[in-house]
Amino acid sequence: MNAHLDDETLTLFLDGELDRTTRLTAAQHLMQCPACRERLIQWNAFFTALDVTTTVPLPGAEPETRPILGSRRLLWLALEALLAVVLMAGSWERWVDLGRRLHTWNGNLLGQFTLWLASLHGLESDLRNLLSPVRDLQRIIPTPTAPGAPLAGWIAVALVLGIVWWFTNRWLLNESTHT
Amino acid sequence: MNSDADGSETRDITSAKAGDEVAFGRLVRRHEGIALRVAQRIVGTPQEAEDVVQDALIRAYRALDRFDETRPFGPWLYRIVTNLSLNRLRQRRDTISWQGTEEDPLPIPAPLPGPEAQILTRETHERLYTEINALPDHYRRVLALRHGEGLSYQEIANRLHVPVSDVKSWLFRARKRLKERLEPGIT
Repeated sequence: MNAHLDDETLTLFLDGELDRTTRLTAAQHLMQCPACRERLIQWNAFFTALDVTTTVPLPGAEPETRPILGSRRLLWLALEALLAVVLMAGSWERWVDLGRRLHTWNGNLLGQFTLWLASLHGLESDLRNLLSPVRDLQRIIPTPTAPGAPLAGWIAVALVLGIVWWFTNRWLLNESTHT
Repeated sequence: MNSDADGSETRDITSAKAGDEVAFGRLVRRHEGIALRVAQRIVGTPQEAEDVVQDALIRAYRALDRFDETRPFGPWLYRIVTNLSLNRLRQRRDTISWQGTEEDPLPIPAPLPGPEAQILTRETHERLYTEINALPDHYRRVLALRHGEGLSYQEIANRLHVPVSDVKSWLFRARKRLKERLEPGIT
């Protein structure tokens, strides 16, 4: 092997992730090539710094490592499941109605679509009633299907859901990643 | 994190050069942990790494009279360890034929300050920590699992439920990015 070893090969060599033959061929080159040996020493030093930094956190830093599915994550999943059950139970008849209409094809596309839309509108009304204590939210977010501003309503709902989803995921990732 | 923030290492080197074995013992205890990591990355097994480090320490002790005590001891020792580790790999001649001869092992390096001299300074540690925290989440995860927990690529892939090729790619990119951002500090 006369060509110099690239950085990826050097890091794989130090990680012990090269196959046996490639590893020994690389080692042979390293014995003969001062330039590659120097780069290997630099990478090895850098790996040592990474070892120390990721193993011994700075004082005041968060020292705790949480598993990806930690207790808080499980709690969130349980809460989400509970919310789903409440939403389903709160408008059970509507869901059943929607399911029945989705299964019943009467041959009239426009008529069928109107029936589905009516079912969805009913579901949306039920959910709004379920969330009726949140008056401010209802005032801020216009009725998505109300005449006059249907698109703005749906965009507002999507925006709020998106923001909640993003913050929740950021929080969960930080919980599972921080050391 | 600086290994000689209070000058004690310099005093130990001076004493060891004068024949004080206790002082040399303190130097050994201070650096052998990192030396073992450096060796194990190259030779692969903890047992062989221990042999290499033992050999390196003996050679360092014998060459100590040529060492300038104003230089950091650790980087010099790690270079000796690296060269001896490569020599050790070459001794495994059962699988491939070496082009070099057994009579020309890598020499003990001169005690010059290498670019890795600053690897464990407090400032470098803090900079590296800051830069790691600025990386995307998946990069930080693979770094923590590889360097913090010492998992193999396959073990990391299993833990994160991603292909090994992703782990390989993420680790290399994360390290490359960190190395570039920290230059010329530690590389």
